Parts: sequence; C-alpha cells; structure tokens
Amino acid sequence: MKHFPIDEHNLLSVAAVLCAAGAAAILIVYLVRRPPLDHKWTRLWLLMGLGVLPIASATSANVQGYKATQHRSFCGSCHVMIPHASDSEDPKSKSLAAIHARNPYFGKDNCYTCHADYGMFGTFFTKLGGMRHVWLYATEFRSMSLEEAKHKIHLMKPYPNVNCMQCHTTAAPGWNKLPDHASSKEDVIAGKIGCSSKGCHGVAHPLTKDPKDLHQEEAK
Amino acid sequence: MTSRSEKALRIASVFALLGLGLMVWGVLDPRPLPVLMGLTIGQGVGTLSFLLYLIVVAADLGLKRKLR
Repeated sequence: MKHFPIDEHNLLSVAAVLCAAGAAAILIVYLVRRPPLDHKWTRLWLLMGLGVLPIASATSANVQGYKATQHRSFCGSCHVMIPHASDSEDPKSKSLAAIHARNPYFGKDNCYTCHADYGMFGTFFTKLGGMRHVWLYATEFRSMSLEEAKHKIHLMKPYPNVNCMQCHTTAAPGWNKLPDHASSKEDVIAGKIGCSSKGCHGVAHPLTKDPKDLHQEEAK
Repeated sequence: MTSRSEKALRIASVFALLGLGLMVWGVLDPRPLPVLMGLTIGQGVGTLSFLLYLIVVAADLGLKRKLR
C-alpha cells in the first residue's frame, strides 16, 4: 500500500479540491433549480459559490501549483527531461546532480534548487525562464527523440557559479585551503571559470554529453 | 433583479465551473500543461466570473438606490 505523507502540500491540495467541490455543488444547484434572486439565501449562496469558495480554492491551487513546479517529477514529466530526473533518483549515480539530490536540502526539488535564479527578482525570472522552457518544449522538443534531444538540449546561458555559492561559500577557510580553489578564486567569483565544468567538478549531467567528449574531459 | 442579471449570473456560474475544473485538474495532475492551464486560463475565467458577479451586485445596488 502506498503511503502519502500528510504535509502542507497535501493539505493545500485537499483544501483546493474541497473548496472547488463546494463551489461547484452550489453553482450546479443554482443552474439546475434557478431559484429567485430576490431571495436573501440565493444571494448568500452565490456569494459563496462565485466568490468565497473559488477564491479560497484558487489561492490554495496557486500555492500548490507554485510548489509543484519546483518538484523534480514536474521537470521530469517532459520526456526530454526523463534521463536527467532518473539520474538524480539513481542512488548509485555519481553525477553532481545525483549527489546533490541525495542531500535533504535539495531532495526532490533538486532541479529547482540548483537552477533557480537567486536575488531579489530571482523567483520571477526563474518562473519566466520556466515559461520559455514550456514554449521550447511545445515548439521544438515535443516530437524530438530522446536520443536526439539528449545532446541538443543546452542551457540558455552559462551556469552561474553564484548558484553553487549559495551553499559552498568561497569565504570558508576549508574552501580556500585547496590550492586549486585559492588560485582560481577571483575567476570563479567573476564567473570566468565554472564550478561545474571541465577540469573542476565535472559536468552536472554527464548523460547529456557525448561519451567521446566526456573521455576527453576526463583526460584533461 | 432583471433577467439580464440572471443571465449574467448563469454565465458567471458556467465560467466559475470551468475555471474551477481547470484549477483542480492542475492540482490533481501536476504536469506542465494542467498546471499552466489552471494558473492561466483557469484563473482568468474564474476572475471573469467573479467580476460578472460583482457587476451584477453593483448594478443591483445602483437600481435600488434609484428606486429610493
């Protein structure tokens, strides 16, 4: 038997569905029975059915929808992202993405935690970027084979080191102790060298790379 | 209440049912298409239905004031 943990997301879903069901019941009765509008109770019920309950349902659904878009299963629901999501879920995988997914802070939201823009308007720009992903999927990748898409998918801009630095601070003594870190600190902060790149920590999603390129990177 | 108000409220009810359906679809099936439909069309149609309701209420209040 599958157990669903009772958390705030499930409660929000239940609240959204219950409020919507309540509103729908009121509206269907109104449409079928057509009670006189002069009646005080008809107006009150319509206020509930058209105002209070739908607003409560929409609020819960909005928060729940926002949370759902952060979940790995949401990202992995487009077929071209299945290998990325599967790799993150593989307990044996040694990719950067999978290692981070095993950290409870990232957990099932690891795609979003790593790829979200940070800063004052970070959430807004992340969501805007997400809309672009949906558009690109609908127009370009939807009918593309997984094998073809695997190597064609790329980031719109170089992965920002500042995202790594949300957790891995360059100010910590331990970080600076490593000679490679100390010698490249300025370039890392300036974004001239990528943390997740050749010669450093490797690519986050090796499965999207051509095996030949990966071997070349390892040799370097 | 006029028949125009009644008609507007019936349209509002249908819009609300449509919007609620789309929103619930996004909650129960959290994939990109349902979630986006719920957050855009669902919200839009739902808001439109509530606006229609408010217009009817405002018109009703205006009518009552005139009658007084």
